[in-house]
Amino acid sequence: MRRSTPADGAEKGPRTGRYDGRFALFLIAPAFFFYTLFLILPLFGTVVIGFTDWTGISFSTLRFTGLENFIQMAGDEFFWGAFRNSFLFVVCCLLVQVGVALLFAIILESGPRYARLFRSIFFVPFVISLVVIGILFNFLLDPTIGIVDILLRAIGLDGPKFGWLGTTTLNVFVVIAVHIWRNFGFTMFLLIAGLQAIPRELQESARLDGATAWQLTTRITIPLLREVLVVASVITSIDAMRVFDLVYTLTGGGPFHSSETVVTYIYQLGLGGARTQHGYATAIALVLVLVIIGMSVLQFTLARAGRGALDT
Amino acid sequence: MRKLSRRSFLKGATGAAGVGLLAACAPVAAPADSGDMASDAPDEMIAELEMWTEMATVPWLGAMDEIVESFNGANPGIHVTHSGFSGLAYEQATKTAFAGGAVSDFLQTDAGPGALSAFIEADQLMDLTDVVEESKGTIYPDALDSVLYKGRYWGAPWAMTVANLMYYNAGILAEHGVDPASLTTWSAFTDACQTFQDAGVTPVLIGAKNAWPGGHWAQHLYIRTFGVKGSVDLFLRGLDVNHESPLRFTDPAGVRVWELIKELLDSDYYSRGVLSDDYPVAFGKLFRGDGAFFQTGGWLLGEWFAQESPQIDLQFMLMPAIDDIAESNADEVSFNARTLIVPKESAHPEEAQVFVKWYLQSEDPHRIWYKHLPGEAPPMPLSSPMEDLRPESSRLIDLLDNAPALTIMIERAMDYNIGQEILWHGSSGVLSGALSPEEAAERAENLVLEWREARM
Repeated sequence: MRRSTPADGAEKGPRTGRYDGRFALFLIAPAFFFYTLFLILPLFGTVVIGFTDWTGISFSTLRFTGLENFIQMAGDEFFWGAFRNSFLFVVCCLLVQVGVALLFAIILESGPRYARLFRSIFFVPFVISLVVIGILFNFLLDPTIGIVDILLRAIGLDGPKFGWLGTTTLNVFVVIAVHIWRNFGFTMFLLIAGLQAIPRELQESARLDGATAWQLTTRITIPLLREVLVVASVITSIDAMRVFDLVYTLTGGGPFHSSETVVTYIYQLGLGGARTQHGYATAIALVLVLVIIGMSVLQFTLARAGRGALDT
Repeated sequence: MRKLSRRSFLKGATGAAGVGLLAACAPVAAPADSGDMASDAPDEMIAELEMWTEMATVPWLGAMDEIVESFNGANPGIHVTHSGFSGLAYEQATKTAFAGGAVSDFLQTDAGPGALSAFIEADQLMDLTDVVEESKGTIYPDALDSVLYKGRYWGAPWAMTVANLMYYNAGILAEHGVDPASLTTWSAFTDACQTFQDAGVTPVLIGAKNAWPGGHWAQHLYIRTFGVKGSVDLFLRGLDVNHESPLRFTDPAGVRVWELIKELLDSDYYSRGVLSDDYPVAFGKLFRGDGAFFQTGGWLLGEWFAQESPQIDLQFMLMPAIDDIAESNADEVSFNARTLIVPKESAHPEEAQVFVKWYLQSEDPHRIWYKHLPGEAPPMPLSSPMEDLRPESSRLIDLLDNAPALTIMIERAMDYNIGQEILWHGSSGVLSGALSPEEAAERAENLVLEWREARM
């Protein structure tokens, strides 16, 4: 065994660095192995299957069909209906969920009485399972025994003939409303955290300069909250684009695909009952991934452009 | 020691993950014979077989366990272990297991050529024609048709039950002077609906949120408008591209199916929750006495018999015939069944076929099943009647025995993908007003034509 010499000390730094790098790789190797095994490889597999007519039963019958699935998608009215509903989800959630959450966050951060209590109340729906919420609203909105229609009848009004969830022109909006009710507490918490990070001195000095509450909000609070708002918007829109559980438990995507979202449609085609259109379902899933990535990039780009404009 | 670059590390990790994936996807090794556990002598080795079904809850699970126990007792060289998975997860689990080469030695699935075709076309099932041919004398020929595809038999049917039943609340009918024996025609049925509506009683309960209950109305009406023979002929066009038929979904009898459903809707005979109630909510309302009629199959009797203190007098009849269609016959029966299949990947194909043969030739499993689930009848005539049978169960057997024509539910006579789209979603379309009867019929015909064109 070689004895160390004082000269070794000079080389120790860089060597330690290399050693640390390898050690770090060693530490992440198990996680990386499983990440690759269960995420990266299936992802590649998914891309391949999206270009086949696989039935989901045996790889022996897998046949490459080129762009056939994507051509079918272009002419599939139910896909476009589902896409429209998902887009509606995103727009409504961005406008209403983020908007209401921002409003409530500003109000609760202005220090009203029982602010903590209200924060908890608004957050409670978020911790309830989506399936439980689905079952709960199924009961509440039942056209014969549901409390909503009973109350309406008590004041001389009548709910929709086929029920809130069975009426094709209404049901998507009802599901969106339930989704927003369930999630806005979480968005509000994100924004409250952002509000608490804004230096109080800025608002106080603006107030001393005679700024009104509206000016404080629009000129100070919201611009300084931009980063958190972008994160909240990205999370909200991805969540809305991927919505499944609530739609599945409330309407099952029906009637006649009227409340189908892209994810429930993928489920119906690939996994629903004995359906065996895995190749086509996977192709739609690929498009969904691209849309979500595109949406997120767009939001971050807009936010960056907005920040640039603000800086100049 | 050579420096490990990030690129090398990534390559190595990806390679290792690939090897791991291949290992995970490799066919599962055959279960070890438990001969070494049961006996030291090689000639007494016991083949350990695994059987999957969707029977995971009482009373289904109890029936399966008893059946398997009976088989194991009668076949000392074979030991079967049953595993039950419930609900939709079962369909997905079996498909995934087939794809991964990890399926059980034999398993249960839905009967019907449309239900089996995807597995057969993927070359995943053993051809059981020889076993079935040996058993032809014991099983009802119509039941065997449910496992027939392209002239070969692919499974063993069991647990038949009548699917085109119309349940009714006998108390409500009696209270309003409606004689159930008179309800053999559509006009008599709708007259009764009008009587109930005038009296403030919901005429027809339905849980069409699930889509399939509406689909069942449609398929049973196809049987009434085209007859069993005609409807099978029509629907087979969506299973076999070589099957030719002069019948079309757009024929007047095809449009009539959707018109009848629309008429019930427009007359407000369906319950308010027609599209927002699911099946359990709807039959829950029936059991509470909230409506007069409810369409579903014999499987509802399982739920009914489980009622500890029934609140109503529940009876059933067959779907009525359509008055203005001469060929419409109120006695023709559509049935549902389960089937046992043997995957080609089975580690013990011969022993699995021994089980199938036992299932086809012995009364024992069917008696056990029937004892636990009297709403589902044996696929064979029993040599002696069952003891303590409930009258509803005897009636089901009578309906099956005396039907002038019998067929598996016709959604199972065609490719499942288009069958569900035509019947399940077609009915939702008509009930929600998204489709007119003519549009529903035209859509059905187009779906079949597109399916055939893609395979020609």
